Amino acid sequence: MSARRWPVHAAALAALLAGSSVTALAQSTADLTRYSVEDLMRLEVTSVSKKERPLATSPAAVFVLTSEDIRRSGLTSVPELLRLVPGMHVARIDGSKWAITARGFNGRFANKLLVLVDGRTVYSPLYSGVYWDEVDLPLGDIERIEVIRGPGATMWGANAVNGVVNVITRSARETQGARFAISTGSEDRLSASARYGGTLGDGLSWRAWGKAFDRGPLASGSGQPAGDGWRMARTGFRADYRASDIDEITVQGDVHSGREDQTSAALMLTPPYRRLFEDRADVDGRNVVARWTRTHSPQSESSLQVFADHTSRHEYLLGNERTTLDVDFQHRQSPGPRHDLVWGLGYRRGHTRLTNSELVYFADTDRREWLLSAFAEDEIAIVPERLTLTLGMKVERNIYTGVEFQPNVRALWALSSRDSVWAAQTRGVRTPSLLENGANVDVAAAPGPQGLPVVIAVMGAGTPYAERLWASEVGYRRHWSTVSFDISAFRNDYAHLLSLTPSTPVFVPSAMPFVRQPYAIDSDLHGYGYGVEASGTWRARQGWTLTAGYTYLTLDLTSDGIERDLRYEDTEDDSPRHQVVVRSLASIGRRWEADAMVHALGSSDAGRVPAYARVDLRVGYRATDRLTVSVAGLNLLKARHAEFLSILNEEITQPRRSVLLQTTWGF
Amino acid sequence: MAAALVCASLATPVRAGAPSEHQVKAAFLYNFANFIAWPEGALGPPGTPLRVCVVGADPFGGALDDAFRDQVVQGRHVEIGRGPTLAAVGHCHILFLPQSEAVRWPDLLKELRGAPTLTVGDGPPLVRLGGMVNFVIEAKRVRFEINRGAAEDAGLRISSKLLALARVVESD
Repeated sequence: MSARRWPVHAAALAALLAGSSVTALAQSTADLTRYSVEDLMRLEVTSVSKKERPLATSPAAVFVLTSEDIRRSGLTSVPELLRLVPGMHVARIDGSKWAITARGFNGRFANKLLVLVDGRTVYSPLYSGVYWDEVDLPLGDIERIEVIRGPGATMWGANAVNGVVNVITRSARETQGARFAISTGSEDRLSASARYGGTLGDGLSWRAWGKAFDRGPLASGSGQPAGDGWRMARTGFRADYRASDIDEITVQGDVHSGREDQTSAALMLTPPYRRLFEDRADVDGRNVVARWTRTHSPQSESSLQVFADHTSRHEYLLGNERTTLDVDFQHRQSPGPRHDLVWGLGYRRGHTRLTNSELVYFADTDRREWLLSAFAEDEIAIVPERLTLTLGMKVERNIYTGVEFQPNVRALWALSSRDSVWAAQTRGVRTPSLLENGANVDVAAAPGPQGLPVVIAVMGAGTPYAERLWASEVGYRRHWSTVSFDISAFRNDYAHLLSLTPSTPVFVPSAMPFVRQPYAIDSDLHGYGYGVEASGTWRARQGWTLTAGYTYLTLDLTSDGIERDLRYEDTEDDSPRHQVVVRSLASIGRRWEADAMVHALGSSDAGRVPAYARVDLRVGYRATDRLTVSVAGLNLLKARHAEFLSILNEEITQPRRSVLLQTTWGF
Repeated sequence: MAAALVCASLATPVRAGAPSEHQVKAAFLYNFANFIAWPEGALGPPGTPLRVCVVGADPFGGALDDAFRDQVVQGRHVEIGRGPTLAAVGHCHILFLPQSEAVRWPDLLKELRGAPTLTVGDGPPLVRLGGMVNFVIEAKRVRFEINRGAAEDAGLRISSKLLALARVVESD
């Protein structure tokens, strides 16, 4: 709920740093229950309640998916759930791949979003993007998903250029007992998860969980089942320990392994110049996060987080093994009565081992990189309860472009108890990726002059600039007794966006000679985007809620480079100009639920991805307090539809109409 | 220098002795449970537990569980319920509304209207919005306010002892 996220904090290192200053409680809560009300009223307390500000009143474009939204969607993965968030654009590439963005620039390698799972960054430094298939957990353990559109690097960390997605799971205290969920359907053929939560002594709560699924294929362009089914298994734990009255320690981790069928394309030097074949991605990973939070007073809190993450991904295009270690510290304090200051330090190091393929070549396949960051943000109550000004600065140093500054200024003005306006001016920087620094990718083959085939290649020779954004945003919110309304508008000015500069063709005298036409990854593209995002909720009656969201987006990009506009029109058009999402959640009596979602998107990619609408319906029945059953029909309008256009050679498949039967049993 | 800052910040000595705000609030809830009379039938058949719930993020840490562990209140054991929504927590005899949910308070109260559930808010405006009890912090001490009308509308009787210690207010 807090706009001030404390994503980052820990335990092993924490214990070392602080020595063993665990404080014994003077009184246990059980002792206190023997006090009379009069005595309790005389007790002086050390308040440990954090100043929690509802995200809904922060000076930023935010949207929160609650666990209830998630449960009643009938959707079964984190990327699919983001369809419910106004302002997000979700396009399915194939069974296990998604292109997801906010405010434009969508693609297989969309690179302007920061995604966190309980404080652990999951964007890949390989291409600054997210492997969404690896972002998974039992959806029933998610407390909420917070989505912040617009740059959020100051508080949230590197790569938060166009938005932040923050998946937050429930504390182990809130997931006690056993819970089983099993579902079966036409796309999700079989999915099962089990969780058990317990306590150990005083103050330690834990849960352990496992999840596995077998997903069937989507449809190929001809309507036949495509070769993109996948299976994944995952198991994990979380422990929350109240070490003392002021110390909270959380340790969590998980391990996953998956096999994803896909259709990949190899280049050929003779017509038809590419060959599709059945490929498989082997995806494995494990991670552990430790977080230690100490609350000194209501105005002061420190937290330390450490995480280690290892992922491995092998497919035709590339093999990639990566280890990340991240340490992050934050401290919040109130230096004056009207100030609320947060500062922090972060350090991340990564080691990536690459396995080259026929298409992708890195001269150096053993890569190490690091990132150092420091930030401070002060929230100043200019007029208490009325006008708040936030000033923040993040300084980040990466090994490619050196020091980057990311300042932000935000103001929130409460017009009345019912409505408020906010405005923000923010700078965002995308951390350069390995791909731009050392990759050589053969993208396509085509017939060339004098009968010689031409291979188009993209070279990442490194650029001296990081992609930069200045974002200007304004927003207005109002709530009445049953209606709430939220609108935000933005203008984004981008500089040094990735562009491609053609360089000298090279004749390659192999057994079958060809000409390689390289394009160097450059940073000559610049331009602007603007848009409006609106959402509203109406509690029409007790047990019946309607929500609606609308998104408008325009991008205009130009290049200073010598190349002619090389598909930049496509980049401008990666996301639809208009999107509408409407949901209705209705409870009928104590046992029944009838829920619906309609999602309509305009065309994108210059009309080559046509406009489409999807309708999902769900009926839920609470058989007993412990057993619930639901049936969902997804994508009901059409047998199948395309959501994405390929820029590489991979096959794009199409989501099909599907049904899903879900059962959960808890005790 | 950075490491020194981190160490200094984390090693700040803790003032031992005083209990935390939410420990005391949990003890208050235990007292409330004993000083409220629920309408006939509202507690269910003998042997069913008294349910004390938190809707939304739980600010108690484990203090609420500690306060009611192994206690018998109104002849019943106590079950703690937690959940993001009223539907998820199920029926409760005492419902605690944390500060973090303050924007939802009006909606939650509306949904609960007439139910024999003692609503307790973690901050001042709740009783003015039609809630029954809320805490206030005054001079580092936990005090509470009661909206007697709201409780009576739901058929709850609050003992005169509790009323005498509270600040009694009306809905806006």
